[in-house]
Amino acid sequence: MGGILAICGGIALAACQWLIYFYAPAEATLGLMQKIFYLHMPLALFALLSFFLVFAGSIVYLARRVESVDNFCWAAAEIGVLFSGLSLLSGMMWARKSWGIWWTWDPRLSTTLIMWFIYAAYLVLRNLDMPAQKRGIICAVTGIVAFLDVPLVFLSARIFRSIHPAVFASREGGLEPEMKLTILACSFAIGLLWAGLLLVRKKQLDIGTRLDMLARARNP
Amino acid sequence: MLRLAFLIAAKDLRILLGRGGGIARPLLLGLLLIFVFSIAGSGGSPMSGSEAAAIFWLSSTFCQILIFNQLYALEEVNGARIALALSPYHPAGIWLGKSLCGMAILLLAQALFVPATLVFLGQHPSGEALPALVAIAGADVGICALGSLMGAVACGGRESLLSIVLFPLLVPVLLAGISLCGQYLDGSPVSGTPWMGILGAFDAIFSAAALALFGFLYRGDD
Amino acid sequence: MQPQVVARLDNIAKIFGSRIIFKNVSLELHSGEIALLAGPNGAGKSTLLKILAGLSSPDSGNVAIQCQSAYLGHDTFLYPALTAIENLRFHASLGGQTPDAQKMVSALETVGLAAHALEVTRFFSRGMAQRLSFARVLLSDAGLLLLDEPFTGLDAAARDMMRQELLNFRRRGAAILFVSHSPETDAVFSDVVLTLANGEIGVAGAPVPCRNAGMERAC
Repeated sequence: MGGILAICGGIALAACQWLIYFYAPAEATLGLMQKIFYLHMPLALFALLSFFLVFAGSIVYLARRVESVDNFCWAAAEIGVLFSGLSLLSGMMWARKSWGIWWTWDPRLSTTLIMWFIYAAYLVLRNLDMPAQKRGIICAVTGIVAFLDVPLVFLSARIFRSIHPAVFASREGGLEPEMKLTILACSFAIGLLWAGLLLVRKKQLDIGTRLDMLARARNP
Repeated sequence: MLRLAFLIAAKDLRILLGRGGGIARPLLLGLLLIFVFSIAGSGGSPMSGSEAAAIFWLSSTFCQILIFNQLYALEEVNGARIALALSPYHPAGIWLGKSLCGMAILLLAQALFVPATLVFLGQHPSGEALPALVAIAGADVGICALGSLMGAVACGGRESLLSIVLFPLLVPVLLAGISLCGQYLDGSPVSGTPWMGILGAFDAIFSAAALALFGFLYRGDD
Repeated sequence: MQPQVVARLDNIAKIFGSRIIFKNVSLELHSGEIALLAGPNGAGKSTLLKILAGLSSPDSGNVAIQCQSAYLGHDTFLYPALTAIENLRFHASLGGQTPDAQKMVSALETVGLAAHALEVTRFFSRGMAQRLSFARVLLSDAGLLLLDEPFTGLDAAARDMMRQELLNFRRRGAAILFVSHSPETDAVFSDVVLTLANGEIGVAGAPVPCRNAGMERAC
């Protein structure tokens, strides 16, 4: 299932390239460089969704202690770190080309960077050498605490930004109909890809868990 | 829970302050950071209030990381953690006790960091002191509440992880502390209300999260 | 007086990863009874004690404890920077008691550490630490004592002291379950000897493992 979704997502994303470069008009001020937005925004959106799933899955894990839920959180965190990293890179490329700076204290960029750091640390905890259940509990607590911090990071970065004005402001409010359709299509395509990657990675982790158990049973 | 908290806080304070338990290390690290940054900034123009406040909070955070590493390390010797797990009291009392002790030591450290910041970083405060004091109190509560919870995550041979896990989580309180203390140092106008709101929300959310989650973390069995 | 059941395990199992430590273990501990738990290394004796103490949960089955318990494990639970009496005071308070100075001094005298009451435990030998750990148990009002190799590190006099105190506990109606690697020596002052081996529990010398309630008396 995951593989099929990923392939469909890849095909849809390829089709979206036509929408991005031929269907959606160039933005009046920012020109061709603005088109990176059609990938940048869905990447950030699905990174945030990944981290929300880590949060929700962590609560379920603490209540039920099912290893497959723990693996789901692990997979979601990995995909989230990947997508947020890509979102940051695309955002930095956009800022550099459009305004000559690599970084700015935009609340959304800042929140994405902090989230990347937090969940990268979460992945470090994932690789600790300890009994699976104990590691699962530690990661579940971290996963819950991490997501609780996200709105606070966003708000504090926004208040801080009022002192340091941003170079660019929100673009979503002023989108042409063709741009809206393109962003929806790209979000759908990246969503398919995201769901496929998540399911494939979770399945890998579940198989890994079973192999570990079989290996331990064979060599006690 | 409160009884357990006070019991643990008193025991930890006795060990750390009364028996040479190693409070010197966090204090020295914080002072060293302030001093090193003063060297880095000494050649050019005077350091702004925000920059000096950022260094103060950086020192406080590193100090606090060492403090909580030490506080939880006390329970790893001779299996003392198992005795705490056997206690009939709610395990969140352990979190609260460690937070209270950590807060006391952090305030003690900051009592040294404040004059060090003023002297070594060349600051002449010209703003209102009250928002800065509220910031220190509010930020310290949040730092210690979250630090105590994550200290339990990182104990038992994982102490080096505390800094990478905790630092990004503390960004909201650090930004609040830097802004409010910065305005005290250089008199720049800052609206305190939003930052007080951030501090209050942070303290409330993570204290509640710690109360709910600590029991899962700190158990007797591995 | 009829002995009462102070602790019961019903068909409990414990699994670590893919390894079954034990399964279908049923056990009753009665007031005024000393039970010795023997078995080879890795049989799960310490794990069984931890389950009874509430430090670990079984993967299946039920645990019922009818009274307060006191646990003495492999670790001494002592804070090296605190003195003997400070350690005792802390652990008594941790157990929900109000520390009584007279009782603490008496407990230290019983274990032969009264002269070291004001010394920090960092400088205690293994035997001294074990005795202080036992003093912590003496201070408790527990009806169930769970002791994991309590005689470790003790000289002959200290072992005799500890056995005498355990007999005093039995006289007061407490149930005692202790693990020993010397069952031939410690069986003499035990009311029943249980063996945990190959994932099952039984009474020493019985031809088949007993799984019914009250098995120690019936088999």
